[in-house]
Amino acid sequence: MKTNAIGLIFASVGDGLLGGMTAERCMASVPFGGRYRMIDFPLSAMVHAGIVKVGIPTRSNYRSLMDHLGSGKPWDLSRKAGGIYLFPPFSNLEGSNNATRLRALAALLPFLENSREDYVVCCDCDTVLNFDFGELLHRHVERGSDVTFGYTLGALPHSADGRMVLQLDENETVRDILVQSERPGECACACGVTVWGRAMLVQTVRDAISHNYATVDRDVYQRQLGRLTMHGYRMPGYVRVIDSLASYLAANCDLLQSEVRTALFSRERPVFTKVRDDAPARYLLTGEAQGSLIADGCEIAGRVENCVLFRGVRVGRGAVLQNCVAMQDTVIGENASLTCVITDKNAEIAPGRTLAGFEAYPSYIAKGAFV
Amino acid sequence: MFYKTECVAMLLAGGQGSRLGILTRRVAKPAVPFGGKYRIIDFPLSNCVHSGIDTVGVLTQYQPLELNDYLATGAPWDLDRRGGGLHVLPPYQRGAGADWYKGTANAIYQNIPFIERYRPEYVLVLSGDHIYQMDYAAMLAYHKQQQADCTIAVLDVPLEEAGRFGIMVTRPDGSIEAFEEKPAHPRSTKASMGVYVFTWEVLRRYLMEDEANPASSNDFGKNIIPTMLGDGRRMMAYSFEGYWKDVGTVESLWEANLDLLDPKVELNLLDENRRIFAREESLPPHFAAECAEVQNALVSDGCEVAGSVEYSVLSTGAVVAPGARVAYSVIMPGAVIEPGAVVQYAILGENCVVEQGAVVGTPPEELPPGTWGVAVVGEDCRIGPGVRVKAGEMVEADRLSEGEEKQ
Repeated sequence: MKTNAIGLIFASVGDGLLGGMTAERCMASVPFGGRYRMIDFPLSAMVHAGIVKVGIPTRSNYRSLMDHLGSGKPWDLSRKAGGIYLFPPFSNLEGSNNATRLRALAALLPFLENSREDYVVCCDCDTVLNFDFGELLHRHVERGSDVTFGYTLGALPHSADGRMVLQLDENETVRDILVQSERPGECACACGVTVWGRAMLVQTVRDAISHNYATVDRDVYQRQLGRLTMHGYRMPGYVRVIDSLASYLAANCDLLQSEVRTALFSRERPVFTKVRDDAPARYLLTGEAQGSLIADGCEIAGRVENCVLFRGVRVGRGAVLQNCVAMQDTVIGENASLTCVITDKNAEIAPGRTLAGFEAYPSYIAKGAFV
Repeated sequence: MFYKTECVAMLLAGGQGSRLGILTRRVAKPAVPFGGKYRIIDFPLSNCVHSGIDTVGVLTQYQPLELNDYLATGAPWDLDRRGGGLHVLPPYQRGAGADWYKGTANAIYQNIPFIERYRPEYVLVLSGDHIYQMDYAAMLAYHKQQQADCTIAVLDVPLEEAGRFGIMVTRPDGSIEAFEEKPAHPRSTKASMGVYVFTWEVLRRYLMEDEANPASSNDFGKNIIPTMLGDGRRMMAYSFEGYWKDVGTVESLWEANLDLLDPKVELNLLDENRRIFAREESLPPHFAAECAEVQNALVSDGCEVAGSVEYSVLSTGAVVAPGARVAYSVIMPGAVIEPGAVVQYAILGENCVVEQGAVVGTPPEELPPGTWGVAVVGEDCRIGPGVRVKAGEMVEADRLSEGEEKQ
């Protein structure tokens, strides 16, 4: 059923935190979980909630994202009415293109004004999640909020630069908003999911631009604290922010737990992605795998333990992979040994090489690199 | 708007495939799952696309619901096209009454108007029950070069097996001298693969004549081909080299699945230019648990493997619980094998459940020669705890305890 909301997915949040992995792609098209890209999670969840018009503002390096999304068909978003709207930056806006979220929103004003739906559901791409956006929207409407923030309870993530901490009262009403928080221990941490009334969002952005404000966090949310009704919404299910190579590896390894797979790949809300028509994974006589997630198209002749292998990875005879993430079409030579390594697409490890990172500091092999 | 097309493909997909027994109780043979994530019809359809043939009529008749759902707009094969594309062609009612497709030739006859829209020079006739990768464009080029009226793809088979096929006796120039259906004493080892190229103008005339003949059974192999041969038409055999298998029986379906594990078999499902397209479900990659032991197997997306698997094909979403053992078997989508159960030398249908400690199938070496067969459990059936399903048995309904079968 169609929902009275449009979606906005910010494709470039946290681009700078993953080093080489985002050198030629934005956060939205970072591969994750053996066959997905980060954007597949919020995009699929929005589609399951009946949101059929989704704007995707980008900042830079969006070539791989365009290739991934295509016409939007895998998400059922190739439509006459609605569908996917990809927004590359304008080149004539003052300041750097889409550099801040406020600039990005300003550039989206025509899209927002021309839509007829009453609500706008925003989501960032640096968060792995799969929850019911419909329930979030329902809470937003029911409480008569101007803004609702999705949040998780827990310690602040490792690199919490700019991540908002919410101070909530017993009704989840936002009493204060902190950025650059130094608070130790458990706090309500906004996870990049926000709901607005569309008219309110348009008015607020216009007002912020005419006052020459710079950021959404400080100049919109913090400044408007007393004037707008803001609520928190505790995110159900699995939610994990990816803000470093270590958390990228850890989030992939979370998928090796059955509860996480059940929460993330729910039968009711499958995660859609672009298909590649690989053959099923093939185990050769010498192949073995334990505690690993292995995609179609892989050929396994060595040993794989606690790994996530993307489509078309080949593991040579005698090779051993432990706690690794190998992206699409990685080739691991015979008798190579890898521990805590992330290999990007088409990387090749020569036979007999030994590479090791550490869980808190994984080693990263760039796209197409030969080791 | 229908653009002119040089060659239209007509895919015969209406057969029941009765020799597959319960596996085709609710689906037509071309829709039977194959190779972990495919269905049989994916092979001819993908071959068409890779050969540059983008106008395909699929003739359906028997149990078409699942096949129709599967084909839908043809998008997974890139056949949702503006001009041609994929068209499902069921029999239909006319002013003068309604007819089922009486035979393979009659099915094409009833769809002459469909073919004529594209004003083709040639028509490629295919069937939906063979596993192979073939470049039809090369065969069409041969047909044109030979200025043939009909070209039939043939495969060299061992002489002792020739009696199971339609055999073409050819002259030195490759033209066909005689056609023998399942001959007792084969004069040649060139077996027809059920792949025909016809010059449309010629075929059209023969279809009309055949239809007007009340004694005809309206079949390509029985009527059209022999009549054309009798008339001295130019008919050529086109030799195909590579893997080809008719999966019309339970044994051959089982064998063809396990052939995918044989490195010597010339099927390449990974080659970007020949890969087989399929409608994919959105399932996560398969998970091999800590205690999994998988060797020499194909495992598809969505599977959860915690037991041991060898020489087997696991289709999308199949589950092998801890302590369960699967060997020399074909597990169709969504089937579940519970702890301690054994599935060997068997085909498990879609979504069936083998409960704790049950044993399905028997290795041939444990049986007297000539008594072995593949055990088959039909879709959605439950095999109760400890129940044994013997070699060659076909289980059509839940069997919750030994000797009891419930519909």
